[in-house]
Amino acid sequence: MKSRALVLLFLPLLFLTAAKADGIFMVDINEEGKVISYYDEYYVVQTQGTVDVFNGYNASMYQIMLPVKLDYLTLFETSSTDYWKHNHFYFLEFKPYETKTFDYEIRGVTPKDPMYLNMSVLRTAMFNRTPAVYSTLISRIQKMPIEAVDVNTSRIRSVKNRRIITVSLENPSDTKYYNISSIKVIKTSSENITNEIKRWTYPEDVPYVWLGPFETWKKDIVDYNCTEGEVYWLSSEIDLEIFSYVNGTHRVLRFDQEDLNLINKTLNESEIEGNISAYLEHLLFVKKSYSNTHLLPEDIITADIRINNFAPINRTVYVTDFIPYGFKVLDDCNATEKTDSDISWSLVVNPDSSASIRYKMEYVDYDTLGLDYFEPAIIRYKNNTFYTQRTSFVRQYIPEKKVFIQKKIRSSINDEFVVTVMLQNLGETSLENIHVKEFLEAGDQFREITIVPASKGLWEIPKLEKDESWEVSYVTNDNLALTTLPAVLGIENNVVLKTLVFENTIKNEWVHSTVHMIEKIGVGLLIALPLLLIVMNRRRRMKKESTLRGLGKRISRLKQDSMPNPNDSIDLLKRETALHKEFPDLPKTERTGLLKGISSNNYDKDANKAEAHKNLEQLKDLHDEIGHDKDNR
Amino acid sequence: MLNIEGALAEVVVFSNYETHTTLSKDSLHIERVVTLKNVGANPIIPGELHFKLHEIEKGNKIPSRITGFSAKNDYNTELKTRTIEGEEETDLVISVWEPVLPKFSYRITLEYDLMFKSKGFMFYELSVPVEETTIPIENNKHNLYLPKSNHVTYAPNAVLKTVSRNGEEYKMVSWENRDDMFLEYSRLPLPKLGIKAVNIFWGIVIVAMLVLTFLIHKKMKRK
Repeated sequence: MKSRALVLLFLPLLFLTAAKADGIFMVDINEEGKVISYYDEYYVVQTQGTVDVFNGYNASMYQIMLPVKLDYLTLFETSSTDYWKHNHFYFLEFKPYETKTFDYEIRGVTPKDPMYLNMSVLRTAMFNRTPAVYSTLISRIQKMPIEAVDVNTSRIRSVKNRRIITVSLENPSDTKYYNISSIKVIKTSSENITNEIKRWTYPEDVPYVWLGPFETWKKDIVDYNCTEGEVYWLSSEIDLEIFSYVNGTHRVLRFDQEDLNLINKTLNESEIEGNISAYLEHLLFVKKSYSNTHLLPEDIITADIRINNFAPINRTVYVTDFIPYGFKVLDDCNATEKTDSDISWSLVVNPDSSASIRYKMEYVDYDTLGLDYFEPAIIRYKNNTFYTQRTSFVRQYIPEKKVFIQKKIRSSINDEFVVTVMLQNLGETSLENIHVKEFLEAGDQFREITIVPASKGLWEIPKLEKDESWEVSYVTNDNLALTTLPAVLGIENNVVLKTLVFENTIKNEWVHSTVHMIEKIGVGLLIALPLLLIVMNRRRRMKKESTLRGLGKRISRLKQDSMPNPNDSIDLLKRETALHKEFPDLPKTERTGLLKGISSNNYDKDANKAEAHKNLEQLKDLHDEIGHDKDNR
Repeated sequence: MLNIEGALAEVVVFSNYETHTTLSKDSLHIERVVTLKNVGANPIIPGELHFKLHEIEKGNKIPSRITGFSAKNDYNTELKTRTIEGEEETDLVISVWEPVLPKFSYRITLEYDLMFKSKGFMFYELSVPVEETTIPIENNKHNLYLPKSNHVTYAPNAVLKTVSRNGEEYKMVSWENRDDMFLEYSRLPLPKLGIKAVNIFWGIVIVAMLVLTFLIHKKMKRK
C-alpha cells in the first residue's frame, strides 16, 4: 500500500520573525530628466533615476510587490536586477533592514500630467499604491490513513472508507496580524495538480480569517470518498498590511510648447543654422513672429516678417508667406499676389536698415484641435533664398468629447510583433458605439487577440465611460499596420489624440559572391592547356622511343636469324665486286637483279639466304631511319 | 450609418537613408545615417529599431558576423544598442525613446563591421542589399568606398568618384534611390565597361589559350 503524506506549499512564502512593531517599508526615489507638455494634450516624458527600497522591519520578508501605475509610459530597469515586472517591482526576499537599489528610465507620451503635485514621475506612479506581500504562513497538511467506519443514515447502516485530513496555518510572528482571504485544499488523483477530484475552500462563513501573533488556524476535513494514492494540496492567500512610504526628490525639468525650439532635441535646426550662415554671407537677416499662438475661433492675429539689411546697398527682395488652413487674411499689407494658401510681396530694403511686412489674419476654424505650424516664409534676393523659422501654434478648440489612443509595438519571436492598442475616454461624457480599426491586409497575420473582433482588425466598443480605458492586443507579422495608427470611428476625428510607439525592422540580405564559372574555366584552361601540351609531347616522344626499342630488338633478332654463312657472304661479295668491275655503268638495280639471277641459277642452294639478303636491305633502311631520328632529337 | 473604412495615412518615413560602406581586406565597415521624420499629425516614439542581417551562403540563411556595433544621435549621445545573434540572422537593436513630434525629425548614426570576403580570381563582385522595411524610404543613398588599388569594372547606374577619407584615397561608387546596387571590381587596371568585364576578359583569355594550344599542337604534329 502506497502511503504518502504530502505537504506542498505552492504559493509565495512569507515568514516574519521577531518583527518590530514600529517598522516601515520605505521607497526612496531620486529622479531627473524632462517632461514636455504640449498644450496639456501630450506630455512627453524622458526621465531616469535611482530607487532605494528599504526594509525597515527587523524581519525577513519574502515576495514583496510594489505596484506602479504608469498607463501609457514605459519603464526600463537599467541596472539588470530584474526587479521590474510589467506593472510592479517584485522582490523575492528582503532581509531585516536591507536596502535594495536599482536604476530605471521612463519614456513615453501620455495624455495626463505624469507629475502629480510636483512629485517625480515614478513617485506619482507609485503614489497611493500600497505595497503588497502575498504569502502563506507556516502551513501544514496531515493525511491520516484510510479507515473503515460505520455510517448510519435514517434506515440504512453501512460501512464506508474515510480519511481525516488536518490542515493548519500558523503565525510565527510575535507582533503581526495576518488577514487570510482564502484557504484551499485540493485533492488530486495523482501528483499532477491538474487532475483535480475535489476542492474544499475556507473560510466558509466569514470573509477573512485573522491570525494574531503565534496563533494557529486548524481544520479537520473528513473525506468519505477516498482511495489510496490520492494527493492533497494546500493553498492560502494572505494579504499582509505593511506600513510603507514612498519618498523622493527629483530634478525633472518641466517645459511646454513655448520652449520647444530650445529644448526639444528632435528639432530640425537646419533652418536656424541656415539663417545665421545666410546672414554671415549676405548680411541679410529675416525673422517672422506672430502676435498669438493659442488660437480660438474669431481670434485676429498679426504676422510680422522683418528683413534686416546690414549691407551698404539697396536690396530688392521678394517675400512669400503661407497661410495655414482655417485662416482668413484681413489686411494683406499691399501684397503683390494673394491666393487662399499663400501671399507675396516685393519691397526694397535700404542700406543698414530693416523693412517689415505686417499682415492680419482671422482664425475661422471651429473644428480642428491640436498642434500645428506656421510654415517658414521664403525671402528671395537675386539668386539667393532665405527662410524664416517655423512657428508652432495650437488650435484651441476644446471639445466635450476627447479620446486618447496609443498603439505600442513590441517585437516577438519569429519575426512577429505584439501590438497593443490602448484607448481612453478623456472627455466629460461617455462614448457609445465606437469602433477601432487597424489596417490589416488579407494576408497579414492576426492571432492571439485578447478581445474578439467584429472582423479582421476591427473592434466594436459599445460603451466607454468617462476616464474608462479599453485595451486590446494581438500578434501579427511584419506588415504596414505596424507603422500606421488605427482609426477611431464613430467619433469626430479631430477629438482623437493619437500616439504611436513603434518598433521597426529593417532587413538586409547579403549574398556572398562566388567565383564566376568563366573564371574557373579560364584559370582551369590556363593550367590545363600547357600541361596538356607537355603531356602530349612527352607521350609522342615516349611512343617513338618505344618504337625504336622495338625495331632495335627486331633488328637484333633478324640479324641472328639471317646471319649468312661467312663463306657464302665472301663469295657473294666477290661476285658482286667482279660484276661491278665487268659492268661498271650498270645501274645498281639491274646489277642486283643479275646478282639475284646468278644467285638463283648458280647458288640456288638455300631460299633462306635470298631472304636474308632481303632482310639486310631492310636493316639498312632502318638504320637510316634511326640515324634521322637521332639527328632530329 | 457608420463608415468603417477609415483612412490609412503614413505616420513616419525615413526622409533620408544614407549608407557609407568601406571595403577592407575581410570586412565591410558600414556607417549609416538615417533620419526618421514624423509626417503625421500625432507624436510618435521610435521605440526600437531592428536591423536584421543575414547572409546567403550555399543557399542557406546564416547570421551575419558583426563587430563594433554602436549608434548615436545628432548630439553625439550614445544610444542604447544590443546585438542578438539568432540561428538565421543577426539582430542589431537600437533603442530610441525620444518622442518625435509632428513634422520633426530624428537622426541616428549607426556603424558596424560586417565580416565579408569577396571571392574571385581576378574579378570580385558586391551586391548591395536593398533594405526591406515597412517604413517608406524617401531618399536612399549608398556610397561604397573601395581602396585605391582596386578598379571598378562594372557598376550599372552608379556614379564613380575618387575621394579622400580619413587621409586615404578611395574610389567611391554612389547609388541614389536604386534597388539594383551591383558592383564588379578588379585589381587589374581595366576601365569601367557597360557589361561585366569578367566575361570579356576571361572570354578573350580562353579563346587565346585555345588558339595557341591548337597552333602549338599542329606544329608539333608536323615535326
